[in-house]
Amino acid sequence: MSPAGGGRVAIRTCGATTGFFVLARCENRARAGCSRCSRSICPHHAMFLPGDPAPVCPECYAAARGYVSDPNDPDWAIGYRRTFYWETSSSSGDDTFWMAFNEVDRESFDEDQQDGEGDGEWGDDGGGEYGDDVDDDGFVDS
Amino acid sequence: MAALPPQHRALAADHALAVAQTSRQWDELFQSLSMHEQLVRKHPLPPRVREVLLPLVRVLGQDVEPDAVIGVTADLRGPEAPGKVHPGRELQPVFPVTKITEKVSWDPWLVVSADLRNGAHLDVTVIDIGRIHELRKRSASGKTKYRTKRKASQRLAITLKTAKDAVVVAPPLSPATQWLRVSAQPKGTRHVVSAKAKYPLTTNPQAGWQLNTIMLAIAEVFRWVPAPVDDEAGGAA
Repeated sequence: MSPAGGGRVAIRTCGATTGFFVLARCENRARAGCSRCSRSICPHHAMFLPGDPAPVCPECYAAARGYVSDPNDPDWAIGYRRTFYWETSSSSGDDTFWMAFNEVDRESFDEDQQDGEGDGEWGDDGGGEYGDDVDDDGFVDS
Repeated sequence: MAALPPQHRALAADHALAVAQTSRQWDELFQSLSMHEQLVRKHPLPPRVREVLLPLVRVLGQDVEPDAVIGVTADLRGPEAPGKVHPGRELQPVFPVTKITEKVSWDPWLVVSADLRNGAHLDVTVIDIGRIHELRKRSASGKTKYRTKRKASQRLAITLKTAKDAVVVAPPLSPATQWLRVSAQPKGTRHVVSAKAKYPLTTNPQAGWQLNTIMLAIAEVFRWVPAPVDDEAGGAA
């Protein structure tokens, strides 16, 4: 970033967790930030809660909706994934199973995991709502 | 019935389905199935469609590329459908039983296969096995009575052929999956991790038991393939 605060800014990649057993992050170019957990999200993963124009990530959306029992529901898999990992880890006493999911899910909050610098909309040039003032520390998974 | 999509019709009329199709095509089928009760008065869907098939394919749909197919061979006609019960054999009866015929039903009701997006391949096979004893006995009053006893068990087999050069490590033992026998064998640049189990079937299992059992077994094979440390994406296999 230049001393003037413009020019080179960090590129943000989408931090949505994808997959069920094969966990990964989306890593598409992010265009917004989750209004609840601040993780960056691409247009494909930006979701909107009823009556709230601010985008949220799929995890926060699922958490806000609560438990969805109907597998026909498009959001069922997201909630079921978190429940399954948590319950399996709890019942087995194997924390590593939950941690495998949690680590992937939390990577998107880690500033070191971002792609470095370049042209983007998340800098301190006033181009983005979730610029450099984003502070991921202390967030708890939704 | 005639207006239903072919796969929907196959599940409703024949209680069977054998198809390999993309996640999008599965979604279209599930969308059609979700309206089954409104569209079809007779021919209810087998319960395992909604309890097992639908959620399992939805889960696996998260782990495959959009253009990759998930193959399913489902035969939900039940364990005593034609072709599933093998010819019986006579057992030695003990009085007052005068004749025992044992038959065995072999019901591979679900086979799922999918190429995962990380290059691995997953196979799931669920087989119900039933031992059927047909008894003829003589009561104290001299009447001849017939009785049939059934004992059911299930075999579950999960096979994960890992991606090339994936590291396989035996995980800590888990009390939740002690009922599984898990092994890993190298095969070229890949490994084959398999989990197998055989357990009795109860007459009144808890809701969601079947799906949870299959999911636990699938999760167990993935526990053997930890995510690469230096992989930013954190792939699980």
